[in-house]
Amino acid sequence: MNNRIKDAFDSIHAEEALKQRAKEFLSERIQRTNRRRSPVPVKLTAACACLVLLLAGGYSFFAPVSAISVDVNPSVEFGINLFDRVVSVVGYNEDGMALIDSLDLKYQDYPSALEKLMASDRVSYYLENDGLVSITVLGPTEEKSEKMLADLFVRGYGSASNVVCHSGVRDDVEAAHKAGFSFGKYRAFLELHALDSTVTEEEARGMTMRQIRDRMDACSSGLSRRENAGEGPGRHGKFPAVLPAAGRSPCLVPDILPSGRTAAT
Amino acid sequence: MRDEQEACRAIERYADTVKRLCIIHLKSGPDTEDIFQNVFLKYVLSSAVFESEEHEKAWVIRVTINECKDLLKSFFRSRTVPLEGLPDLPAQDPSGGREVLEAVLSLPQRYRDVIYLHYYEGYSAVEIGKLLSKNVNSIYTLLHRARTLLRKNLGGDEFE
Repeated sequence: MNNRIKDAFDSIHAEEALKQRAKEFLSERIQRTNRRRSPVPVKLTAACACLVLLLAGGYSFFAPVSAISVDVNPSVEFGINLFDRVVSVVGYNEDGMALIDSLDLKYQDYPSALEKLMASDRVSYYLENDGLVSITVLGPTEEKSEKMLADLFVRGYGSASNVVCHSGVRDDVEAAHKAGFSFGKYRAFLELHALDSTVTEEEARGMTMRQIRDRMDACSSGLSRRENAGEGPGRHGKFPAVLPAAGRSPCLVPDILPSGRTAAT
Repeated sequence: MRDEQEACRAIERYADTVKRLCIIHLKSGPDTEDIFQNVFLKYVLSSAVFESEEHEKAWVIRVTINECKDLLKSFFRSRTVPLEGLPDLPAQDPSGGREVLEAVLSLPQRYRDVIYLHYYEGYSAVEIGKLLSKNVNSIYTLLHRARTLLRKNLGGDEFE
């Protein structure tokens, strides 16, 4: 009888059609799963592409393509990225370094950063004391430079009597930095040097923009170098308004501001 | 995940076993096909490493029984009535195979598994206990009662 049970179950077999349908079903599922699993090279390529995009995005954000040089006595240069954000701020003299230390300008759009800089105590001090502010822009293309310059005029910087705006020259930037100037101040130095070849870089580095401008005006009007410099109606005597009180470095803003500002007026 | 070749090999090797277990548990042809596909899909997706063919066969039996039980417990199944009685049973044969089969299938569900596993697959009570996660004594009891019922239904005293 035990064999009868075995024989009874032995007579049951899975039909070929049933097996075939199961095989087809599994084959389709296996292929679908394999298709869904993208091969490693595709994943690797996608990961690399993401990485490249990320790096490119990071690079394009942090890479400065334009620059603005603001020179009064503080000499400061903004590096500006593709998105018009300030990505680097460099002070080119002691006064400039102190100025950027006192302000948080990074990653702001450049008009805001410029506004903040111009409203700072140190720059205000010079503006109120007949200092001359030179703003020099340098874009990746001439069109961009012009656009930035036009933007400065729209914002009223060009209309102020003691603020001058220029476009910079890209070829001068490297030489300017090598000589320890911002490119805006270097531009002024080159102009002065063209009028008075005896002016050295060292001498120009210690001059405020007002002093450089007045020296250029003096040279243009035919005054001798001796009359403009040193002890004659020289630098300090000729430009008293822009300078702090006697005995103080002409390049430095008083230590305490804004209370220092009232003392100087 | 196993490949297509392994899937085909498993179907060829275990199709009859799965089919027999389906007949023991289910009464509907389409259900058998569902179980068939689910069992072999689980086999393909499983990462289990089998130590031997016996191990693999035990795995297939265990999964098939579970699949059948799950299907019987399902909401839809519990609220529908099958249209057919006992499909796919072999035609009447001279040795009375169909009669024996019907006698086995008429047993309560809990007896059918042990009868099939013991008399057809040749598992001992201990092995069936492990396979069904049941106490060995329970298996002995189930076998004894199943034999008594079969004897009653089929007559004779061969079921020992």
